[in-house]
Amino acid sequence: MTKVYNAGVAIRGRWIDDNLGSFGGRSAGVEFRSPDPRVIVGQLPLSTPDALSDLYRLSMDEILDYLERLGERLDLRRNAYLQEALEASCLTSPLTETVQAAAYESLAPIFNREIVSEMIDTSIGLGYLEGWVDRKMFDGRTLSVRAFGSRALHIIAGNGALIAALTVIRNAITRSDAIIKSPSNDPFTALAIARTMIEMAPDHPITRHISVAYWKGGDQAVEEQLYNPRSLEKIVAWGGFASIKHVTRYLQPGLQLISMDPKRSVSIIGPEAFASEAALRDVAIRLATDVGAANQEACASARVVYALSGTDDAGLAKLQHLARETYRELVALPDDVSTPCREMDSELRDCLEATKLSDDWYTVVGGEKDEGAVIVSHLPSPVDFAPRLGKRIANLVPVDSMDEVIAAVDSYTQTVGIYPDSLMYELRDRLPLFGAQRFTSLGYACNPSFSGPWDALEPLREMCRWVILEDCDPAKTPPMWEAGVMFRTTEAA
Amino acid sequence: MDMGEAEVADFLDGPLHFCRKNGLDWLTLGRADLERLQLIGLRQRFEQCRESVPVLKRLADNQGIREISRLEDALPLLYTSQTYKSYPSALVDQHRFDQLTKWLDKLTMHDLSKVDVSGCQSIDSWMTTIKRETPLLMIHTSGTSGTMSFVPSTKREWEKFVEQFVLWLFGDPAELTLPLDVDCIYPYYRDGGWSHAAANDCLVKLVAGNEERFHAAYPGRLSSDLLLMGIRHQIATAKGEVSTFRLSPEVAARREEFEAQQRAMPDNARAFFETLCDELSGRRVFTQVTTSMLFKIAQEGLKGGKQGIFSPDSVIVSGGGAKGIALPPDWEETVKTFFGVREIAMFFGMSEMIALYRRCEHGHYHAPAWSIPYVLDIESGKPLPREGRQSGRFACYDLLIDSRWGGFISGDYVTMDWETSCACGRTGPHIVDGIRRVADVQKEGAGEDKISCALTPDAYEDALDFLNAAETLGG
Repeated sequence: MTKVYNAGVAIRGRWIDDNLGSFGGRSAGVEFRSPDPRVIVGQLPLSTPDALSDLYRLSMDEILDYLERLGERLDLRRNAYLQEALEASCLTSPLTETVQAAAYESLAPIFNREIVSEMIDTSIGLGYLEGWVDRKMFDGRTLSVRAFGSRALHIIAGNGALIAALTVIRNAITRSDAIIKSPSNDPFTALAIARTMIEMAPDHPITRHISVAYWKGGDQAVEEQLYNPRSLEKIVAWGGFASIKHVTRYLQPGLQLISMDPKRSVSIIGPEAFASEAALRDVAIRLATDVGAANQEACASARVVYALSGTDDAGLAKLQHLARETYRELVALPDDVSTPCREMDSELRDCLEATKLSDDWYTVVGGEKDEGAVIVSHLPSPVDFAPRLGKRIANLVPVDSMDEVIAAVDSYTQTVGIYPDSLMYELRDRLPLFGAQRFTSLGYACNPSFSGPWDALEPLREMCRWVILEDCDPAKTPPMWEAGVMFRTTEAA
Repeated sequence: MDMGEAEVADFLDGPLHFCRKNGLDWLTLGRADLERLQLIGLRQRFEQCRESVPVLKRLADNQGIREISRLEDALPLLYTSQTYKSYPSALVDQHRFDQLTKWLDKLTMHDLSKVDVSGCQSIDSWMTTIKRETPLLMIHTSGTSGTMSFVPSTKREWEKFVEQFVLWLFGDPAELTLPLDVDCIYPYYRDGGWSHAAANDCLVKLVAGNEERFHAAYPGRLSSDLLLMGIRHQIATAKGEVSTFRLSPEVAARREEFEAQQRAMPDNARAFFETLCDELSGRRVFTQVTTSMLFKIAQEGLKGGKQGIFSPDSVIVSGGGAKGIALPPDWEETVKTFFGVREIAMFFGMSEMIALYRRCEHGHYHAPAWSIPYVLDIESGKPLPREGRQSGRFACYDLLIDSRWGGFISGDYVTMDWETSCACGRTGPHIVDGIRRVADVQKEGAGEDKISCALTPDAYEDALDFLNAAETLGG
């Protein structure tokens, strides 16, 4: 039976939930209703670009105050909007209830003042956000730089509740205006945060620069009105091949796409893992965490694991031992970290069953009733269905030499989880050339810092418009009208 | 008439021979009689395969299945689309054909352990060696995922495949003299690893009567190695791995020539067919051609004032959809008028199967007596009741297959009518409405804009499709 949820839209401090209808937001077992996007789309863009000026009357301290207060209100135990969003998202999301609830629990902490300040310092630098940063240049002029906010549309992904919260924070600290397009696999999280903002401070500039709506991706009647330089300067797209393809048709000078392409991640395990039983146990729990966290739905989740175990019989035996230990840890992970999947991918199940029958080439540990599995390849290559790995199914691949682990990485690779840490330093200058974008200690793949670059981009910096001012004194900087020489040093003049 | 185990075995070993001797009534038994007969056949096949096909034995042991007492008992044992490609693709890349043969050996009743494939340096040579040294006539699928399925059918099974055409398309089988001595037009390569080409030897034997009457556009073999290389290269391009994608020197040397040939193929095939329309004008012919090519030739021909090309008792088998062109609703009339034939024969089948479901004049695909159909729920995989009308994933047990386990779950979504008699007069289950891919149906149901930052298999396939489309436009 289909359960119906009413979703409103949030537009610049106003909550609208009248004239609800179904506009394509339907998945198996759930349908959500919202105001007709074609009717409200005209209200989404900022009237004029200078309407951002209210944000410039706020100091960063005030912005941090606001975010801190918002964080306090995003307490799942007390916030009815979040509770309703959690209930609904359990029907649309691939995640199970306990894992999704844990993701909601982790929303509030990232609004913490220290964490947001760190984000500002590592990504942009407070000075550039609060005013102009001056620098005396070699030719005598003063170059001043300031990071201005922009009018952006965010097409967010629905496989993690954090993405909505992160978008709200990034929008506030860059003093930008955000229109968030909710995905159909998580239509409610961003709405619940926006509604909390409206309840907390409906007239606050930060609240008035957030809008959240749902329309069916590719709905031209909506997108043609919105996706143009009159309404927007940037479009931030999180994954989803089709959603990025939809957007590219609208790109033109004046409208920039910041694309965080869909990614997948791998792990690399050095020979040290097999040096002692204690080391192997340590690797097993770390690997199980990278595979199991967020039920392996995240882009950072480990799927194919290259291990320098050697490919001879002794090497395979060691790897099979690691597979058994990893499986044991995987199924024992606490249920707020990982659970058996909500819905098995039937083709993946077929692949796994066929793999079990090919016992000359593969050893399968687990995978009896869709609870997860660890597949050991007997040859130094992953299973042919590696792109489909998910639902807590990992593939351990034995290799003999470091050169072979380069095959682990291609242009779709995001995170490379590595054991031991020393191996990270050996590989970090080499693997990026093949596509790797993030190295992390094994066990931390799904527990990243939100302050640094991501997907080999700096999203926060890219969300800004970097404006410069050049103050040139002819006495110090040789003028073209006199010498006709562009580059000449003061001394030479 | 009652059929005992011996008669059933006889029937399954050669429906053409059996029906020529005993009449065609066997093909239109009532449902209860038919299913009783099918159950006898299924039991025999299970008993034979359980002891001699290691993969089935393993599957049956895992499932704890020792005997078949109902048609549904075979369900947990059906192979999936993964079974025939469950070998590591590295074996192909590294030319370890001894290991591949060992893998294949577990899927067939025939003993392959004595076959010497040590000299094989390519898929082509491996397949031809197996064909020469054993009763097998193995085929492969197109391998769009980068991995080909290898299906170990036998020469005898492919003969049964062709017998279905003879049984159904050339008039009363009891009256026929074999071979039929009918000209066959095949506007592609005479040989190759695809299922399409596997039937050609038997078409020569039963239909054409000799090689001279079998007209192929290209005399040689379409190389399976080059086909796979082409697909792999596309995938590597999509993944940004071209720099690490290595071709064997012999394949690399032939690549350009092959690609040029592939590009020229549609035009050449059409030109070849048009020439034969002139040469064989007025004669009785048999041909298997894609729908889009048939339609293009017919449309051009009618414009040029020609029609009624072949003798009206000619047989045109078509399928494969209308790639690249939109067919008008009356395309079939256009084709029939131009070629002068009474019907365009169309079938539903798959590379892993021998039995064909024949389309009737009402557009329904009828299950032949030797295929046991099942319809499964696309989400749970559970069987839907064998009654009324049911829509779901098509699966079947193919009793014509006698050298390997013939149960298979397809990727096709069908609506099966189990009860209503079709207006064409045939009884028994038949597929109504169109046949679609299960994946497409699932995608529709899931809501289109579920967005994930993780690279899902769908996103990966979309990327490949996009790249392929871009290459087609560019080429």
